[in-house]
Amino acid sequence: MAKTQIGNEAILKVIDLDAGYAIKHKNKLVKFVHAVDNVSLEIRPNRITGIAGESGCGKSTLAKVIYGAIEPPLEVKRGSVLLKISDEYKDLLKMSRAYISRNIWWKFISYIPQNSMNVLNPMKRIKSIFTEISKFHGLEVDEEDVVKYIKEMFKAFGIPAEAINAYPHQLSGGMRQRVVIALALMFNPSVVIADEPTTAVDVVTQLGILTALKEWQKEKKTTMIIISHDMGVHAYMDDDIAVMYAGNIVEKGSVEDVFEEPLHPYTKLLISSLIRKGEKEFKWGISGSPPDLSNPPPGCRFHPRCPYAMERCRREKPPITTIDKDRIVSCWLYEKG
Amino acid sequence: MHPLVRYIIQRFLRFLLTIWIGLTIVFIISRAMPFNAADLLVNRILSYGTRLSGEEIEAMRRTIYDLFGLGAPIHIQYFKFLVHYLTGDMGPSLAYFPERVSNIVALALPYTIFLLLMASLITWVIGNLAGVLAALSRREKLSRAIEYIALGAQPIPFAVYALAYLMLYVLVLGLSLPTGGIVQGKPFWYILLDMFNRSLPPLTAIVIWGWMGNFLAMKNLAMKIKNEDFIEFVKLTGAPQNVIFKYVLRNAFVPQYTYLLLSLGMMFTGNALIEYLFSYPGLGMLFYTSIVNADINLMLGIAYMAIVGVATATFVLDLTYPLVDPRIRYPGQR
Amino acid sequence: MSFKDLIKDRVFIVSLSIVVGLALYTVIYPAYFTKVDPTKWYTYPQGIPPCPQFPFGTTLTGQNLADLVPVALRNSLTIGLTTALTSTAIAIAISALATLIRRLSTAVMTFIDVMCTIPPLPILIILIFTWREYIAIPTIGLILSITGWAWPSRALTSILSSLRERMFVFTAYLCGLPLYKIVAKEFMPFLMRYIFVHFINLTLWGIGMETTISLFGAMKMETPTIGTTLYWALRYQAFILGLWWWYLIPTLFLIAFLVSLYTINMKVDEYLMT
Repeated sequence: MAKTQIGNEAILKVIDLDAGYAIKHKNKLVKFVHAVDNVSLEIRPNRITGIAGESGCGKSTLAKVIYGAIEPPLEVKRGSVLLKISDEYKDLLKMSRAYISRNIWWKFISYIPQNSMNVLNPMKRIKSIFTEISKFHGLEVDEEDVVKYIKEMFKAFGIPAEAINAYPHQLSGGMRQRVVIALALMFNPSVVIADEPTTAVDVVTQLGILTALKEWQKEKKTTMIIISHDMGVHAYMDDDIAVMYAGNIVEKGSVEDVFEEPLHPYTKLLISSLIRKGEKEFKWGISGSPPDLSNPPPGCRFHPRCPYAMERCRREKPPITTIDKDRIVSCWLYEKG
Repeated sequence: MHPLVRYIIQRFLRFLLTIWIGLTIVFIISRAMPFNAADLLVNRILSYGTRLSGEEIEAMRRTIYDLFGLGAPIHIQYFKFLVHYLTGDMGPSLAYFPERVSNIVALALPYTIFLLLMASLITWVIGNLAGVLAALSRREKLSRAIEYIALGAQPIPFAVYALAYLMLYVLVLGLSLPTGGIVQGKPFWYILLDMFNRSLPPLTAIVIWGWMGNFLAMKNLAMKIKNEDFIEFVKLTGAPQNVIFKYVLRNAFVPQYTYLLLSLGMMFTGNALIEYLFSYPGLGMLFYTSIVNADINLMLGIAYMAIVGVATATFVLDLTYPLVDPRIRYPGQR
Repeated sequence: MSFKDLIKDRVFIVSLSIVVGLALYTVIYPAYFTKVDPTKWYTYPQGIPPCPQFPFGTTLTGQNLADLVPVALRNSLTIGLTTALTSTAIAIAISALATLIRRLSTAVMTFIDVMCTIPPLPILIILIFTWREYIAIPTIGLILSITGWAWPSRALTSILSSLRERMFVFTAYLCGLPLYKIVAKEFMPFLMRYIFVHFINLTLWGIGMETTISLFGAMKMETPTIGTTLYWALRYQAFILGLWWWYLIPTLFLIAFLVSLYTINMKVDEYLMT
């Protein structure tokens, strides 16, 4: 078998993933919120892939499943998540939680959570948080090395050096967020998942965080997955983008293609709600709200809000149409026949 | 000013405030006694048969009259009262006239403080550990069962349990209770050892009952902490279960410590009863004797010393609080 | 949990019936079935175990337990209820004071904390002991509330403080509603749950204190309460002599009442939480 070229084959593959939340009452299933419906993705190495969509479309759930953080009531019905480790694909969903927790997490793949301002233990100093993580993964790290690493990272992300010995409550929200990012990048993982890295910070800090992430990516050639509902973030950061709606991937492609020529009606609406320099037109939001994922509408899930909805859209779910290499869309407008 | 220094000063002022308010209450109850009781009291004490001379009987009568507010104007009495008590002069005991109350109480006080601190700390530690274990454990049925037992015990008055335990201890198990007066005149370590030995029966009594209250409080708290963002996150960074346990414990520590500080006063009630039932030579036992002898002065002295004892214990624990909560040492941004 | 669920809940029904049943028993029995004053000593042969003539037996002080127990229970309950009523009233007043009048806020809260630290037993015992010939049973409950209000105040103050910060109160304030109206309309429904819970807890506490004070011998010792009954049983060596009916029967009645009351507390709390 010929050696595969680094750079083109996917580092992470999501295949036919089906997952959701099982709401139970007294051990009986009441409803199943189908947050991830038949999702397939290929994440290329050394690129930033964005997953876009409104709140409640399932992107956070997708991120958690990709990462392997599956805990009740979250359940995976079927599918696999293949991560490439030393030239081999390993299915994360088949591994035991204990194994993933100790050997995969943080070393090969990291997760920057939403709301990262509140994720630091109030009773631990920042330095101790960093040193402790090494112990979780069986790495004996010299404290001096840790301090050196932290100082470099802090300088790159604009965190004052005194923060090393501080407690979380002594730092501002924005600083804590950057500390969490520095923490996630500690072992230079191949894949980093950032879940809404810019919510709850001001625009200036946003730009700082995103720029720092972008520079890190360029230098270390990390693969990044950015989850965000903010199309502006995607426009700035992504190389590739996947748009999710109600648990389905409705469009995928390189960010230039998708923004230049959005195919799916939902993508069109998302992009048109962005303000471009010089535009003076009135911006409309998208009317309606996302469907209830425990009881989604029949056919194409977007049809109640779609300005181009046809009769077929109400009855049948559109298949995945491959427009071009790495360019797909799921919409009856593009399906011939 | 350094936040730590400010904190210590605050706590010390509160300590003084507690003593002052406590003293005022003791003063009020000492002067708010029914009028006829003064003479009745004198007669009752005399009827016990005393070896007192005529002068001493007069002195005692005056003391009692003073107690009942039949003397100088009230604000002068209050001032004199404050000065006397703060310097440790609580007057003569009425039953052991003219022995000073302060001497009698001083013998019993260390025993009570010892038992109080030991009992509260041990019940606190056991209750808290059990609470966190129950909150984090996967053995739902077991932790539920323990919770129901603890809940079932809550409405039962401590007095009922204390009696039941005493009967169990003496009648069913046939164990003996160490008796005898307070050891005096022996080396310090001997006294300490004796204190420890004698405290074991009452200590076991209190601990077997007391941990359940802490358990319930801690279990509820730990359940809440378990779902906090920082616990979720540290799991995602790869933390094993025992680290989660430590995190939850550490973060529950602060509110639970506050609870401990405040509950010392309440614990004194149960402790006093146990001391009396188990013949432990502390303030509780002394209090019972003073009731039997209608020795009002001694009762007031004990009330005062109980307040001072609890206030001091609280203050000492307060001083260690900054070690527990880093937010006091380093006040944050917002 | 809806109201219908509460009414239908078996545990709740059982507890409620026990509480109401025992309460009625303590009132009706002494009124209609007791012929001789049960508080008088040496009216009956001493130390007889339960038998058809004396279903609960007699004590070594010559009292018929069947007549004694309902009266004792009633007195204990009266003390518990009185202290619950007055302590709750004081607690509401003081926490309202602490929350609504901003300038006094820190002072009152410090005072509450100090009162929580002061051990209540010696103070209460001295008061009751010196006044016991001059007061009736309900007044003892009043005396207990001198210290009973502290802990509920603490809880209520923190709840009221958080309530005060809420937006809707601010709106009412801006509309110019007078202070007491704000309390009645905005605070009260939310507070009902906590007040109810504290009320029951205070009843339990009051009865517990009464028992403890009686065991110390500072109560009105000739008046039957569960506490004084236990005291005399202890004094007359009932435990060693094996007169189990003297101490076990009153205790069982008490525990039955208290546990049922506590269960009602929990169930109603569950209901009020929704």
